[in-house]
Amino acid sequence: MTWHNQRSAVAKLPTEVPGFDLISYGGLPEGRSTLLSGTSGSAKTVFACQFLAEGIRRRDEAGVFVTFEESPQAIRKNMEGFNWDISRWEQDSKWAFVDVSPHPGQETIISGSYDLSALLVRIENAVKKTGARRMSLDSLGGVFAQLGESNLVRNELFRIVSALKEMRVTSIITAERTEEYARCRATALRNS
Amino acid sequence: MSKYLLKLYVTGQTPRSYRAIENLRRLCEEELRGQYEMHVIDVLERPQLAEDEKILATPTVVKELPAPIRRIIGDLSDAEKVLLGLDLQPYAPISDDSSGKEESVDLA
Repeated sequence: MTWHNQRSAVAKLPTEVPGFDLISYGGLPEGRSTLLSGTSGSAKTVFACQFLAEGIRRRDEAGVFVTFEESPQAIRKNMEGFNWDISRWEQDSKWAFVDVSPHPGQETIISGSYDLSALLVRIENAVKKTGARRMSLDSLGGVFAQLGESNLVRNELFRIVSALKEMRVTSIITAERTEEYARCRATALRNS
Repeated sequence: MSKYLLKLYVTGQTPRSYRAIENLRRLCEEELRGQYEMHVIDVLERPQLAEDEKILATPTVVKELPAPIRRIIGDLSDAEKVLLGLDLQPYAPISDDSSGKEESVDLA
């Protein structure tokens, strides 16, 4: 069987990640979000970066990386080993970070109602600036770690994922799970 | 001279934004009259500022001065949390005695 047989179902965006397009019957569902879950250290962040890196290197498609955990500085540094020069891509407006990593040493207190509109505006701004077709959001758990696991946060994340569809970007959303073959926290998103 | 520098980030002119502005202004007038500077920043108009400040949720107040920098997320309807978060202490008792804090506000 070849992946051509599957084409009628959902249009796929070839990731150009070596090997991945073959096993995924052509890549990731185009214009949609795909949840990537795995245990700690299973290279979710690397895959999320590679998705953008191969888009830039092989298809000249810009990408936006929304980071909820590691700082952009750490990601730039960590990916040097793969010869991905993220800083240069940022200068060329091929790669943009939306930095939502925690503020070290800054206490955050919650008083009253809020929403994540600011995050959505920042994401839209980055997509507009780069003309991005690809996006990685890494990882969902980082949002809950910063704001707590409330229905509000879940609903807001659902709203953001819906908005990504309208921006016509193909995205990967990573989520950590505590053990192999266990439910991951993000599955709760589906219930919202 | 203002001692406190507060930046309030909101997204658009929504009821929630106005509520946060109103709550913060009232609190500042009651606790810090004449010694604060408050800036309201609309993320819709200044997305790059929100990016630089890493604003995730709105409304968010960032207390830039005095140190330490603190953030409060929400429409600031819980005054006690705001006082706590912003380290706002009543003007009168400038001593290491923090007992003045308890009786500081009655905003309900």
